[in-house]
Amino acid sequence: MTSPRLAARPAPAPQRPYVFPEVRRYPLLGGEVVAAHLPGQPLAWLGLMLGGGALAEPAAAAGAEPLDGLSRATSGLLDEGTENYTADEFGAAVESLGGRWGADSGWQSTKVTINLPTALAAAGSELLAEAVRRPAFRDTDTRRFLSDLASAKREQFARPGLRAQQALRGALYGEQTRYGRLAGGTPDSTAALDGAAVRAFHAQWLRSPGVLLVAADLDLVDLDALAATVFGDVEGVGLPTPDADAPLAERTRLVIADRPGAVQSTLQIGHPAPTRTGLAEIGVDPVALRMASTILGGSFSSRLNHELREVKGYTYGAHSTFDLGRPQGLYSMSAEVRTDSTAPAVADTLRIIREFVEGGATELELEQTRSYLAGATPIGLQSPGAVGERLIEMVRHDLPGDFVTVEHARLLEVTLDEVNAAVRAVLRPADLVIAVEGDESIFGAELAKAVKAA
Amino acid sequence: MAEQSTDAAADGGFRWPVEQFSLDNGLRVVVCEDRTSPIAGVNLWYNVGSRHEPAGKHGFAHLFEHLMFQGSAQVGKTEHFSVLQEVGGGAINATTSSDRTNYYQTVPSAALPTALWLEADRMGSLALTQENLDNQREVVKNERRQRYDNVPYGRWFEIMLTLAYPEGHPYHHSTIGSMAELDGAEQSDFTSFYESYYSPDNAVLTVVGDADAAQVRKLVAEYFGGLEPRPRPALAEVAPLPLGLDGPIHEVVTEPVPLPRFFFAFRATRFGLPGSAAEEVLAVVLGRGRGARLFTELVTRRELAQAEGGYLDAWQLAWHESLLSGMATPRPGVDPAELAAAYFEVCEQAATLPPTEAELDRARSMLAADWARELSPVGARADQLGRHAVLFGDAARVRDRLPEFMAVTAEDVRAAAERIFTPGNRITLEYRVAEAETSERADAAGAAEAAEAEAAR
Repeated sequence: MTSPRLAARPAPAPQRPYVFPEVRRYPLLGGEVVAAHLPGQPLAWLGLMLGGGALAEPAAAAGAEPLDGLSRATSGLLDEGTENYTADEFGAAVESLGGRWGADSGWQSTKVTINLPTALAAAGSELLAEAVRRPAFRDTDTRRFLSDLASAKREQFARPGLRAQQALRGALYGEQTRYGRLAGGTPDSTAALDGAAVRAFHAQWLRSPGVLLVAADLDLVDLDALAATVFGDVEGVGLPTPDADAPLAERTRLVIADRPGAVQSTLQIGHPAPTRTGLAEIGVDPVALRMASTILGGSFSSRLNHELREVKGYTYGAHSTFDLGRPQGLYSMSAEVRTDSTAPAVADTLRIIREFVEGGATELELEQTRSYLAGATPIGLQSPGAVGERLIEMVRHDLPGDFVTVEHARLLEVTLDEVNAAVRAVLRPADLVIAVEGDESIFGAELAKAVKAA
Repeated sequence: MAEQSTDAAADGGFRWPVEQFSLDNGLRVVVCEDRTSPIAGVNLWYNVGSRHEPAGKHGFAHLFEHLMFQGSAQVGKTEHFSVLQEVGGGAINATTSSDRTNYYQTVPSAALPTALWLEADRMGSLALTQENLDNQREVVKNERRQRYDNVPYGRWFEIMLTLAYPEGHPYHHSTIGSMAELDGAEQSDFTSFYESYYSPDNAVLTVVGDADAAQVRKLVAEYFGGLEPRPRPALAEVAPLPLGLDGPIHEVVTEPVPLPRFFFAFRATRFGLPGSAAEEVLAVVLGRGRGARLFTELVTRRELAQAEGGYLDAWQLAWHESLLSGMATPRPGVDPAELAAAYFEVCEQAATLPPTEAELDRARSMLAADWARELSPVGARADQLGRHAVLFGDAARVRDRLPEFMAVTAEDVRAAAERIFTPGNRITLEYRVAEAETSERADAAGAAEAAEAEAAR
């Protein structure tokens, strides 16, 4: 092959500034409207944020199976039959609008969303209201849905990953507290759910007007009319969901979920971290922490992925992240590694994190990551749903309408000292708990030794 | 209130300009200007997939997807990502299928020259070192473990291909390939594969977003203009397969899976040929979403199957006969055979029971809205343009996609069902739950032997 004529590398050029879409936010009919204006966008995203969440689930009666997953199951049942539609009719109605339905529930809230062509937004809001305000929870539908949910949960637990997360949460917060277990529950807890529990949960937690979120071309939708549809005949008041208990003071350093025969081990390594609000209280800039987190484990070029995947060949990918959500934050690293590399992969992970805290990021890493994250803002916000996610964050943490624009600008000026100070303030290698799901008979002894030596 | 039309007839649901040109070295270029955001999607479709792999080289196309990130003449090992990230690039990845390999990134428009320079450097001078080969073979083995061997039902797709296509057919094996064949290959095998297929005249470059054709023309000439086209071996002729499979085929796999489950497949029309759009609409009417016949019949009415998002799906393979495939999981206490029989009954009924106006309307609304969602981000839009340029020789054929769906009639759907759903044209892959004591471990070697395949779907 003759050698090709290759052009020289182009000089870098500055990125154009980015401004988040205009946000309109106002109270109406006992609820709140938060909307982002996306001129020219042919698709609209509507969401309704309500209370509830896993921390609102009732405590188990003595000797009974806890009802973990009840909140998520309730949100999933909202569109399975309403006063005016059977379950099948409702699904067909959403799909006949070209709509995509979404329902989810986290620790302290419930979100129901629909994504559809802008011209059909009004019809979409009517379906949203129908599901949330007038669900039927008929016995045939709840029984069928909950049985499927239990089977799906069994299958999820047979796939690697969830049992490692379960082990990590238990070790950090204690299995006896709700926050020490998985938000979505287990196969056993899901099997214990029934229609009566769902109806009671809906009546207690999902009756308030809530927050209507809209990401759309606001010149083409009538926000007040959408809000009137969704908030129209609501009489309830939103109860605040309780906060979680504090993490355990004494924690086991290593926990294993045995999975005989697994050809890979799932690592979940982490410790509690502040929330966004908590960061502000200790004077840590969330932008500086995001920068640090990206350098350590947030991109393909991150230290963790580079070393564990590209240099050592233990894994197809390794990541770590700070979840700054409510009610408590969490730092966690995750990877699926070859079974025979489990112990060295854990040892290397602990070393990489420790070296990062002690030595900090470098100037080169900072500059590369600065550009990467600055570019990621507009790239990541192309769809109405992605803009909608930022609206949810805005509401959850009570942030101003221009917080994305402000943080984007802040990215361009944050210094290495600020980044390294943020890491030292919140990342504590000695506190990391190591949870591993995999074939213990193969790596157990070696892993225990590696963790002890780390 | 301003009006927004939902009528897609005028522009085929694709409301942006499409410009196309070629360089002297054969590289085809597509530009789609859209000034909504200060970003640009850059996409390269190389016309090489696992269908190009000769015997003994299964897995080459996919391994190249990895090697292309390992550096070139002016880009150090693993620098590809960091150079892009330094200029603010994101959504960086590549995928391999039976038909093609695509490489893509979205960058701030100011960094468009850097993205084009990186693509040109690896098209012209990939670093095929022994170290890179060894290292990426290990990464691919981890990928295989994570996606195939360590998950329940992880191998269904590669097993299905071996059942659906005869030995030696380009679609018989899938893209993850054979770990043994990758291990056995020499560096020179890889060099010759690269020279054959990573040539400017075997690729389409698409730029979508904050750039115009004049600007792209200048940049492309600068970065790709110096690359020479390289010859490729002629592909062996592949005889068309008969309309239906010589079935029915029923394969049973007993593994430690959590639940019994069926995977079904039916031979179907090649993507883009007459009849394929009707089969796609058929798949939506019967098998996609909450309002689909298979859902309402098997889940709600008869309570035989578990709820799933989809029961039938068109694969859209473009160079040889394609497949429709589906899945169903019996609810606890349901006889699996009863479920399979009911599944086929609903499918076969469609040959005499054409979709109602409401069913067609639901399918059209879903397809139109999904198409709008697909085209919304610049990266995915670039991928669709590159795909149409490679498959039909004209990126503007992207405007035909939605009108083709919208033109499908109830009779077209009925005729498609009659064609596809015959007992002889069905494959049933049945997973049974192995008892804990007797279960055999699915190890990587056994899996590779059973079927050499991958699913980049």
